[in-house]
Amino acid sequence: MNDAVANDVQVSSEPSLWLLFGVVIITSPTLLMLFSVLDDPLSPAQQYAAPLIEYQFAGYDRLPTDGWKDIAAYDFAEAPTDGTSSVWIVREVDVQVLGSSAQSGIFIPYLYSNFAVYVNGALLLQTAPHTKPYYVNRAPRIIPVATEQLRAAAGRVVINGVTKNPNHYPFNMWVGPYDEIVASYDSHYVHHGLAPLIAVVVTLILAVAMLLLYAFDRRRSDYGWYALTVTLFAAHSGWFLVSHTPIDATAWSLAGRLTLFMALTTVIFYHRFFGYQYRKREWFLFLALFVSGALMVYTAFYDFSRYQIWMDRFTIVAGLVMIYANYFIYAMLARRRSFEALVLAIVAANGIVVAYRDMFFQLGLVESGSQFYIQYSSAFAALVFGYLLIRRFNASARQVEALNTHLEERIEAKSEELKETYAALNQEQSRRVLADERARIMRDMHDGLGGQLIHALALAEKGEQPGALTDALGLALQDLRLIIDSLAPDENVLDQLLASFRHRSTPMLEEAGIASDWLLDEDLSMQVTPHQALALLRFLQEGITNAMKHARCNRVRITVAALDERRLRASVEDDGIGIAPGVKQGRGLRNMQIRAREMGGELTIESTPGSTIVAALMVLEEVDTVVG
Amino acid sequence: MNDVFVLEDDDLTRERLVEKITQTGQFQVSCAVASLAAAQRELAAQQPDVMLFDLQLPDGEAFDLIADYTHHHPETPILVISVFGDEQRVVRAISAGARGYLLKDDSTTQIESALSAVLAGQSPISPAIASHLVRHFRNEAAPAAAENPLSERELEVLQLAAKGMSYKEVAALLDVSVSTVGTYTMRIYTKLAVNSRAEALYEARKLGIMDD
Repeated sequence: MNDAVANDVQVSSEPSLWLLFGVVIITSPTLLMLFSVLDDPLSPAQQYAAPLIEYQFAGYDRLPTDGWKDIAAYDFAEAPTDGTSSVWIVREVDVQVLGSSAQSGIFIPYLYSNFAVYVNGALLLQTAPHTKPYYVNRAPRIIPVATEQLRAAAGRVVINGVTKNPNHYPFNMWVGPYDEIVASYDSHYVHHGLAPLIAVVVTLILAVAMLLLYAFDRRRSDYGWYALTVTLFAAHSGWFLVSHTPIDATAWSLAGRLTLFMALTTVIFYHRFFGYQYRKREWFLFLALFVSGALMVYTAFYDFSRYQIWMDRFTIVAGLVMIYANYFIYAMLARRRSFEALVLAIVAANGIVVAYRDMFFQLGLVESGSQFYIQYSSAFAALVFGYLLIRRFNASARQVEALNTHLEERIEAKSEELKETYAALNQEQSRRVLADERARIMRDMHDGLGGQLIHALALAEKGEQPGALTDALGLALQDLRLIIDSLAPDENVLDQLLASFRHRSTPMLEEAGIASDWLLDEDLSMQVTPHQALALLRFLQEGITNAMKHARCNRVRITVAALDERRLRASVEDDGIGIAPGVKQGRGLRNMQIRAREMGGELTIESTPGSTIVAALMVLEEVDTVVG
Repeated sequence: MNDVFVLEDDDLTRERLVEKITQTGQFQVSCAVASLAAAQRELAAQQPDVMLFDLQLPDGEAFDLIADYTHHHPETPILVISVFGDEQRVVRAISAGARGYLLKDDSTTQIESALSAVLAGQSPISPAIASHLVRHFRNEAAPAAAENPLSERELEVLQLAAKGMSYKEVAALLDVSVSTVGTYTMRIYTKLAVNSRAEALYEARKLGIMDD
């Protein structure tokens, strides 16, 4: 219900409303019909009109009204055998107007049955076997006739049809020179044949389009009902246009009549269009139509004498359903005051007016125009319905577009939010990593530098000789350098760390008269944590210091080799005197043991006189990288 | 005897430096001051052969003084007295025009060789400074670096130095003398200073601070 309201566009917000209203009025079949009432522009010149002089309605139980005459003399066709009646229409031609043309034409714009045409007593044309149910052949007709034949006698044209309703026969008829009559016929055919045919085709195309829309979105049942309704409209209108029944005449007649179920589908379409689901009403209307329709079908085949009655009743039921449809639309207009309701109300009102006009025409109360207009009205309604649906479709497409735009904005905002959250998390993470790392560094500093400074302090307090103090401070400074190196922001990449260390160690070794070989792998670009970096540097430093102090060597070789992506082997090798078995637990080596363990590996010592290799395996820890 | 000018605010460090310079027998300290103001005053009156500048002084940083002095006396080399691990500031000083650096705890031998080398047109370099310079000269976004690029040899020297090799090792690898390596380094420093100057001018012009 709310959805329906949301779909509706308010009248006030619709600037093109009055323009459209104007178009509706101009193209309205009501207007067309009014024109034809005032002056039927389609009729041939008045002088060609063949006035009705006599008509007879024979064999009918309810005898016709005043004016019917007994013209039994014309009963030269076989008598009806099935309870229907024969109708005789006699018109007299003013032979003066025929002029000198050899060929004349009889123009009958509309006839409501199969019929036979006699000119001065001679059979000129018989449209179909003279049998039931005859309610076809509504298209305009032109019948050529030799002028001579019309002149042969009083110029009487007699039409014999079969019907149960004499009121179906107050048609106009014009007789005149063939060329002029043909021109009239052509013009008439365009308006009453071709134009409705085009309308029918357009309507069917719309129906297919809407059916496809419905197929793609089954929730939009208004599209589906529209498709069904306008298909029935088209069938109904087309039914009026067919002159020759393509199938059994009874079946054809019934099929055409049954298209009046469109009254029901129209109701359902109206309901769905405004978002209602009045199931009970719809079922009630369906049952009324179904029962009367079923009886009509039954009588058509099994009780033909009552066929006309049930046909009329079915038509009346359909008319009542249509009246409900109108009521519903007017109620919608009153309640919603929306553009859509207004347009539909105009269409519905138009349909009612045209229907009444056609009824009057059928009853013989309206003569001019000579044709039904309901097919125009139907096509018009179909077009307007289609317009409204396409309009809605377009509106919802625009809505979707707007929604998409909005959605994009929202997604953008959300991802921005996510990014921020992620950044915050990341920051938190890196803060934690930094804090952890800081704690470890402090411990490292405390272990090395702290101990050395305390040692130096003790020496100073004891008043030891300056040499010892200088040495102790030198060691402290050395360790400080290693700590700074390991913490340098750019240098937790292994090869850069080792470069600084090498740069500092080489001159120191040189001063001590020791040559150094540095065997550093080309590709040592892996990242190490400051803690591990410090452990590695301290390990190498300790190794070099030990070699300088104890080995009495001429040459040291420092090697750092990557075994794979996660493991390194670091070693300090000298050509000195070697480590005596008893010294293995010396302070220097114990320190190296500790460093090796901090590196994540174990210390190995291979020592013979002339070659000592102190090595450790290092397993790299995962470096927590901080994503910016 | 070459005159050395010392700018260092810490009294003990300054005294230690003066003592060690004097110990070399090859150099003498013509003037030792403790502040930028004093340095500016003294420098107006005398022209030393080589200068040692501490960077952080009570009345400010020495970068502007280095740039200014180098601009007017490009022939007088300035060495920065640096503490270990302060490569960023050393690079900044070199960009301003300094020719090298000393470490505060360098031995007499190291001080002597550093002073003689810089007078002979050679500069020291550390791996951290070298890798910084490699990055700087490779950075094509720097407008002036592209105008005054390093030669292939200079780049090789930088790359080997960045690996932690000593001048001796670099010289052996490139088959040149050790002093040539130092000369390359000096040239690299000069290019950096020139580029930095050009970049500063470029930036200033871009900002409209300075007319063409």
